[in-house]
Amino acid sequence: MNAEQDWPSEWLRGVLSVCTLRILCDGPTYGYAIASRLADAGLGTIKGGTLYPLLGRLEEAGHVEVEWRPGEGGPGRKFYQLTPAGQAEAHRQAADWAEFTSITRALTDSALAPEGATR
Amino acid sequence: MNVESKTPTPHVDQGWRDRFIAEQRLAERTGAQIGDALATVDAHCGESGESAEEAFGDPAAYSRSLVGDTGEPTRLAARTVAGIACGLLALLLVPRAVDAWIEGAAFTVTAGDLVAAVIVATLAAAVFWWPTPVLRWFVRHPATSSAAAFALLIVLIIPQALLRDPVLELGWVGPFVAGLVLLALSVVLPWRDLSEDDPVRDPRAGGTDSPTALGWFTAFLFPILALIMIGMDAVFRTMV
Repeated sequence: MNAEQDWPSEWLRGVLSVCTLRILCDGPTYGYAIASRLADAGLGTIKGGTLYPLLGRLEEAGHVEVEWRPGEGGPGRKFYQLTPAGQAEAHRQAADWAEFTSITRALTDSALAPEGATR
Repeated sequence: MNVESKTPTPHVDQGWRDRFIAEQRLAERTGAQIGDALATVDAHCGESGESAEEAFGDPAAYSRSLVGDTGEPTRLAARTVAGIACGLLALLLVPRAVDAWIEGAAFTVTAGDLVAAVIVATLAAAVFWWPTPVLRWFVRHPATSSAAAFALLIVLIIPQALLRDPVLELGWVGPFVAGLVLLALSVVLPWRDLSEDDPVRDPRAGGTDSPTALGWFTAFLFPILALIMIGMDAVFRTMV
């Protein structure tokens, strides 16, 4: 496996929220920048049709607040910023994800051993 | 010249934009919410170089992903339905009044006319009670819906052609004026409904979207159809 591969969409749906919240922990940013960071991190191309509904749900939940800012020579960008509740949610989801991946890796890493060694 | 005011979302294909707006309207989103969502799509496409279709997929599906499925049926305003009914009735009156004028004959109301009027009333009631599937179909299939409009005209013409027993005879002026009034109402009633409610607003420009070409065509659909019918009558008259 490599960073360029297309991950199963159901995996991405599960991990997108925690990863997006993590990126927003670094400060206010806009949608395309979030998509670019997710791609650079190895998650592949996240389409706008997937990312913005998630950002909308985070806004509705009070985890982010939005603001349109003038673009540099462009028409403007919609910036997303974590609220205090969003900061807490980002930490909670990151902790939960760490525990979840520990559990799943404890179960699945043995599959990486040569065939027959798992029995 | 401010280009932004003329093309508020230059990175979004007009067809995608029109369908998205229609779907958002059906979901009863406000003009401010629709404008914000469109500006977001436009900004993303401007940055990524992708088309709206590539980045956001089908506009109807994307709209549903933003609002969810409320399950609440949308109802058209009564004046919009009345405008549609006025337009269809005008199509029954104006071309034939013009024909009577040119032929120097009386405007005869037949049993077929009454049947056609009942069909119009029934269709208007159906659109009023089940507007969402009807409007969604019109938005998704603009070419087919134009053909459907002509098919409807044929459905209205058939009883008029078969049931010619006169019920009432009038001069051409009365039906012609009544038809023009109905045509005007077919434009004004839905137009007021659309323009007064909640225009789409781009949060970046702070302005209001002007009506789209599709919007103008829809607003003037019945006068356009009436002119086409009068033109077709003129063509047939020269051929006979």
